[in-house]
Amino acid sequence: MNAPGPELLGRLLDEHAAALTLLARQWCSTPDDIVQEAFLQLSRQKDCPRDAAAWLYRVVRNGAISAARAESRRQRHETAAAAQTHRWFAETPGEMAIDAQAAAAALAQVSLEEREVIVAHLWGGLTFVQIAELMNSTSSTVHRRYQAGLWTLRNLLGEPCLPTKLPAKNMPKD
Amino acid sequence: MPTDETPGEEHAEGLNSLEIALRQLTPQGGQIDRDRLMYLAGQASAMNFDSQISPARNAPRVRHSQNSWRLATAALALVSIALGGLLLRSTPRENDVIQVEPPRVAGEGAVALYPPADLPMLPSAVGHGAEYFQLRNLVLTRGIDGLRESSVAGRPATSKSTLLMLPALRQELLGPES
Repeated sequence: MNAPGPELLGRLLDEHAAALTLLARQWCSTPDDIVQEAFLQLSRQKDCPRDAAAWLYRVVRNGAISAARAESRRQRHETAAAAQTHRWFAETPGEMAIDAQAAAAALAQVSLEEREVIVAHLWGGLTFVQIAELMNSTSSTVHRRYQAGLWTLRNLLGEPCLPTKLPAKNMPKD
Repeated sequence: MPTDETPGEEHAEGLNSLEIALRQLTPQGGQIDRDRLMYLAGQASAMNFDSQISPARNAPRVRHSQNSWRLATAALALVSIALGGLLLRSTPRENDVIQVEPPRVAGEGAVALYPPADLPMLPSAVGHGAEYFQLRNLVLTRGIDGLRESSVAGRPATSKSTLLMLPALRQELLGPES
């Protein structure tokens, strides 16, 4: 297997950089550095990982956790993260079913474990099996956390009003 | 919705719509400079390639080898400079050249150093060879009396074979009239 080439790096960067940043943002206050270092780490690999995207999520998660530990801000991070939720989602012009800031604020109230699963699955496009490997857990546990987190979000946001059938983005394959 | 994630019974539809709505949100891109990151990635990849050629674990040995070559080069340069300095300071020694002048062709005013090739051999020397010349030298250096005390070709100068050469020697030294 060859080292990851610039085409693969560019594609992964375009498709996953934002979601990776959002995932790292759940843990630490320097998500860009974590994501950038993960991509550099990938480029240094002699052999490209079989699933480069899942590999990136694992590296970013581990890096973000390490950064959070180094910063010793784990306890304060919950409030800090909630204060910075305006940076979680981009403002998209046009009619949206859910307000971006409201969704970010609600997501910030979900527990970290559930939030990680939701971010990795909804915006990262990882399957529950991949997320289970990422979190050293089982797919059933991951799925349970996902459902619980969605339930919490639904209670906070209410039933979304979908005016039309919206196409799903980053839909996992399985 | 993925097939491996059967939602809860009563709220499945609501969660599905919530998932769809949430997916429409686009995560805020960070402050990552894409071009710079690609440049750094290429640089990191090249450095990784270099480290494959000379892995980090071999770095001390490589450095040691490089230092050895540098030291050897410096030592050789110093020796070369020292030898060059000695060469410049030393006075040029006269070479011991033996010049052999070729025999000049005999002409007007020239002196013949060697006997001409057409010089006829003395008839007295014919048949006696080197013994005759030894006898002649003996007589020329010591006189006729020297014959009693000396030897020619390992034999006494007064031996019979030597005495046979005396008439020829007398003729050569004193002339045919004697």
